[in-house]
Amino acid sequence: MRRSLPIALLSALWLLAAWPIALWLLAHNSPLAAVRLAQGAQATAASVAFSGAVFVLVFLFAWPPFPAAIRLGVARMRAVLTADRATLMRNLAELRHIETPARHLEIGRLALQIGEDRLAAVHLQRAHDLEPGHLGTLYAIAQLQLRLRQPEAARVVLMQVVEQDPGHAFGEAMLLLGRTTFTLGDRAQGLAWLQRHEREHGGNRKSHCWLAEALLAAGDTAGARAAWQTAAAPSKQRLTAEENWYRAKAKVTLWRLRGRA
Amino acid sequence: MRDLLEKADETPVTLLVAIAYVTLAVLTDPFQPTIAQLADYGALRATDVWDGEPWRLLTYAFLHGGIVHLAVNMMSLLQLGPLLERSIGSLRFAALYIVTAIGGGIFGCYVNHPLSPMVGGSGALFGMMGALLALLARSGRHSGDFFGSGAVRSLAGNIVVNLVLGWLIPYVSNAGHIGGLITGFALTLCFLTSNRREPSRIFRALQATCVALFAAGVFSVVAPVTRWDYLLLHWQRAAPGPQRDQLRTAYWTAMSDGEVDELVQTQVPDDEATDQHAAKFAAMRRHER
Repeated sequence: MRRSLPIALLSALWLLAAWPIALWLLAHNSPLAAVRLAQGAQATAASVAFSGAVFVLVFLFAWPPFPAAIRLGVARMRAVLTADRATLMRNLAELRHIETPARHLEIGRLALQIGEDRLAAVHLQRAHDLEPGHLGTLYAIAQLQLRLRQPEAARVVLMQVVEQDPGHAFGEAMLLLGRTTFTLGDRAQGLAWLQRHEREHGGNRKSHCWLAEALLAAGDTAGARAAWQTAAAPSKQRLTAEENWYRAKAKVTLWRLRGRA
Repeated sequence: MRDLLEKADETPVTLLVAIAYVTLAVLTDPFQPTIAQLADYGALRATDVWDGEPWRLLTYAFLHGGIVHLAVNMMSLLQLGPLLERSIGSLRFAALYIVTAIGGGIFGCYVNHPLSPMVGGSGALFGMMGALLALLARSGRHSGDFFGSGAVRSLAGNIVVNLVLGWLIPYVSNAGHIGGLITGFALTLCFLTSNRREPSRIFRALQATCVALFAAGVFSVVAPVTRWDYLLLHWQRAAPGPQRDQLRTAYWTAMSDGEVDELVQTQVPDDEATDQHAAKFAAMRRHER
């Protein structure tokens, strides 16, 4: 999905570029067919544009975080397009001379950042083989497993990381463990992890949103509302796209909860 | 102006463009050039482009429609040109001017009437504004830097004001402005900024796509096979036979703008009616020149 969207967009642009040539080729045999095709395409494009505009308006009313989602999508696409590959290439080249687990881990992390999941899997596995139990490697493997929609495996790995270092990655490992545990159905344990993260690491908009969902599932509506309010609080500094997204979600959830006991 | 002359060796392309503006203004008529004069020196008309004069996609960007037009564009050139040329280099600046002028011309051919002449360097000047936006976009670490920057807001405000003026003032073609703006932004973002990082495969694909779209744009105005003026004059030049009949039907279909097919099929005017249209169109072309 991460890579298919830019590819789909570029493919659409290539089709657009091929259109005048296709019309020209058609016009050689049948000018009338070319004119009809062009007029049909124009009418279709106008209908699609109109429908798209209506869809966007409806979506804005039906799903208010839509603008924040657009911003998040654009930010992610921009991150993929402008990712620095020079460091990755350099590490891959140096790997030929000296193979170390640290180098494999570095390559795995860089590959994760640029969305090269297969490359990341190969190198993280190798890093783990060379140095089993390295927390950084285990955490990166868990992130990859979550991206590959393997939450059960990720949970096991995250548990190992958090047991040895509860504050690993500034608490992010504990946060992911809590969320993964919650989504796998063990809501009480998931809530416990998220609450512990809140106590020990303060939390951010993402963690407040996740904690709020867990509290709501446990029946603590007041606590959930408070957590959402924290997530939706305005900020003097400009938020990142991801923070903005979670803030938008929290605001919409609070708006929907308004009026409920 | 003095700064430009004193440091002409630093910004030679800007100086050459300014000289071209003035020279062509003098050769036509600096105050109120006629359409015929402008057409002789390279004004852009869509129908002329496909009829064997594609160079008009570039030459129009050095002509102006009067002293006020010339003065406004000259001011913009002297503000933006040296700044950009020093940032990206003279060769790149020259390429930027040429490509954005053509980009603005392509949009103008699409939007304007095929016989409506277009002149002015503002397509390329909007391209320079697009280039500045792209340079600011590439320099930021994340999107927050870009949208929060005062320079970006000022530039964006400038662009919006100019576009609004373009809509309000008659005879100003915003199509050329928008075409130049988009072309300048895309060209600079994809090709003209210094690339300290190795570009990704998707970025390379994006570059190739931009080139393909530009080439397709040029092709589509050089061979607008479904536009009524192209069909009309091709009909006129075709020898009697089935191809000529096809072209005649295609012309009337294009003129009917996609209305009920049965109407066109049962009531396609005959050769004489089409011939009259062609003669009238040819007279309009000659008269405008």
